Amino acid sequence: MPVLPHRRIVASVAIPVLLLASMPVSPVGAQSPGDGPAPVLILPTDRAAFLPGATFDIRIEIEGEALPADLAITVDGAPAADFFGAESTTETWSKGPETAPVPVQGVTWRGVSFAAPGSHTVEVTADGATTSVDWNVLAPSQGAGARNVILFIADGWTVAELTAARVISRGNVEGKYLRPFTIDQMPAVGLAHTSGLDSIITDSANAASALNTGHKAAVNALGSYPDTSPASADDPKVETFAELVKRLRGMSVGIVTTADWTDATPAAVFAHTRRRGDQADIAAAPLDSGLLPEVILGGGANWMLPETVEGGRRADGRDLFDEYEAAGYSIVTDATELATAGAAPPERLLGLFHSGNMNVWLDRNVFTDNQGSFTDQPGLVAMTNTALEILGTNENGFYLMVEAASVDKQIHPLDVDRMVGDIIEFDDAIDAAVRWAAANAPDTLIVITADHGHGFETFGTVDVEAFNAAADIPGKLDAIGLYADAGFPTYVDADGDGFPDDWAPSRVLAALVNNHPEYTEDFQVSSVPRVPAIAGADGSYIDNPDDDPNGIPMTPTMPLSSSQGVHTLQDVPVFAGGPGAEYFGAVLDNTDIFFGMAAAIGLDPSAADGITPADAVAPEVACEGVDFGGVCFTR
Amino acid sequence: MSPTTRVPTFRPTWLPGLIVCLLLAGCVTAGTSPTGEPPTGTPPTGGPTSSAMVEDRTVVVDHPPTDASGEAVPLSFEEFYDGYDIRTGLILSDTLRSLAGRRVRMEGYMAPPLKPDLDFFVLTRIRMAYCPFCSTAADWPDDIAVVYLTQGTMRATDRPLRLEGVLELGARRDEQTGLLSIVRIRADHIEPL
Repeated sequence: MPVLPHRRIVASVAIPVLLLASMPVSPVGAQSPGDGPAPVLILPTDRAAFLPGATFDIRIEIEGEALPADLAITVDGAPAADFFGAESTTETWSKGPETAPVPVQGVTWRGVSFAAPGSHTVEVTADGATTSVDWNVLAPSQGAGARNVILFIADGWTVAELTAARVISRGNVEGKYLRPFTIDQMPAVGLAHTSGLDSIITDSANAASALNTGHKAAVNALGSYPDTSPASADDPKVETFAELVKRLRGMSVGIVTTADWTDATPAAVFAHTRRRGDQADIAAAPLDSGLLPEVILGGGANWMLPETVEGGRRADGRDLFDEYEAAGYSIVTDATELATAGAAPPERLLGLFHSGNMNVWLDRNVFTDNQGSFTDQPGLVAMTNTALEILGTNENGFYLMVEAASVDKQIHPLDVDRMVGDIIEFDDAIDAAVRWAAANAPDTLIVITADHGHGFETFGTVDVEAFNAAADIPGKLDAIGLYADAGFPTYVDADGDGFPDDWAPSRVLAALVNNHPEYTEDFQVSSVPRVPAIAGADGSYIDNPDDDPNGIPMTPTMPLSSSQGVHTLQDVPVFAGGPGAEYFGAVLDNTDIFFGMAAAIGLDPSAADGITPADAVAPEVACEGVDFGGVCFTR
Repeated sequence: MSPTTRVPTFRPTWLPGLIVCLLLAGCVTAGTSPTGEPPTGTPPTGGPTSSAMVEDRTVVVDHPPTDASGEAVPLSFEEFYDGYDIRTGLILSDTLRSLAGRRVRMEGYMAPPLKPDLDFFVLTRIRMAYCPFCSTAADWPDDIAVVYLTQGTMRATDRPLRLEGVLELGARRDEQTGLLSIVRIRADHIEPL
């Protein structure tokens, strides 16, 4: 069943008399062409917001064997082809299950844009009924003096996770933290909603896509609205922030991640696909589109290599290392090479340091056997610093996305300590950016947020010796201290590097994820990355006897087909500093992050130079609620 | 039911007709031909196998296989690779190369399978929560082996396994499942531990 969000179907006022006489007037939501008007899907969806000049595709889907004879697609009453000055193309495909395919007619405009701000209504009349959506073209901002934008994303990061990391890293004595994170010192603090087109629960693809485009997407989709056609690359596209600032302002673009660089969050900077799993295509997308980021740093070498070599995952036989090299990239493959690359910044740098996702801080620094042969991987701080050294050479400015990917990848399998290590490292990378900006480019906006949350929370502490010595489950439960009995964990950071000297102290956090499979929990650091549940003989997930065998048995709180914790609904934190930061000190939708970054640099895609004209006047908006303190409160 | 169950082997003594219960409650129907394998290599039908087991474009076999039906050589996941070159991929160890086409014995775990009755599965070093067929983009470890049953099927299990069979080597994509593999074992003997 396709998702038809926010769609309005109203009876057309312009139905010809003949049609009225020959057809029943169908109710809203008619399901088949046989007994009513053809269901219509309009993409982009209702309430989509745009910047003028930003390009996007329109796709109208109409169920049926052929286009309705009365088909009319209008924008504010004018034929859409006239409004956009472009002709559409028509395609046909089938949607739904193979056993009951539904024919679909698709009418598509590629690469159109709005010339000016304002509200627009798109109406599609088909089989005598009209479906409409409203789109809002926002007025570009004058800009706040920012030249560069750095977007830090800790994947799957929440206030509860930040707090747990702060306790472990900074220490808390008599209720006060001994020192703050750099994140804590950001002047603007807000919240962002994360839901997508198809679900209240989002994934990293559509959430990161919203941050990078200002448009909602669906689970697994990047830089595009989800249509019903089988192809994943033909879904109607929206321009990304990186594409806009490169095309219009000549800014540089950088991508830094600890995941595969083709993973959902980094891919959202530049990719357009319905299916985030198309990582081989995503790896080639910059070469194929011509949008070549100046800096690409992360993991995922497997996606660059043809599958004819061991470990390679490309069925097309291309060796993308060779192709990126031919496109002018310097290539580095370990931390040592990365360090030298920063000393004499190349024009373009591609640094991949692992076959897949890079190892987390805890495994790169404490349980180093878990790295396997990848013993010289850089951390997020080194990658961020090198990216800034290269990107900072562009006087037009840059957009850098930095992702702490394994905050999410570790709390999925309920591995609290590996998550915490990467949050501490995330803060260190932000601190590096702050120091770089203060010294080199104070006109840099830094935005810090997450794409979605996880159901993690700390509720006390655990006396490890008592827990491990307890003869039974009630005894282990009694080792959990609540309220005053919790006291404080006993992590020590004598060397002051922000990371505990010993990850196995006598008193650790009692912290859990509220959605999980059957598993056991001992609250203590695991020397290997956790796999809490495994598939049983019938495919249902059951406790992994090798994981926390000394732990408390936990009854599953989710379908037995789920092997690990999942994303949650909660709003995620937003922090910002630098010019334009105040925009982010609010309750936002995740799509607003895109518009806030654009506002900070005064991005006007409808201007020839991409800069909002100095004489542009933002339209007055009448308050339809209560004006209090200069803010319009509505209900 | 015996906890140690022999899947029909290459040898004539195990030829079709047998129905052998395997593992837990599962049964093997001998004579059922494996379906999870593209028709590239010559299916082992008995007697010593030859280098036809190894695809043309795969690694050079330093020691041509001569005794595929002989004593199995123990092989661990740790012995698979000598590391990974970012520009050229996994570096196959000399040990692994020398065993191509020969009988090996391995221990490991069955990765979460796609269906309960299996004619092939992924053998992993540690217990895994990921299903390699459910998401081709899953963060799958490099040190895995795809196990093809030479005959019959077996039930999915979460128990540790010991198996014996002939080692195939070289990057190849399974046409039916899309699964990429480097190390494959055509197993004629699988037992839970």
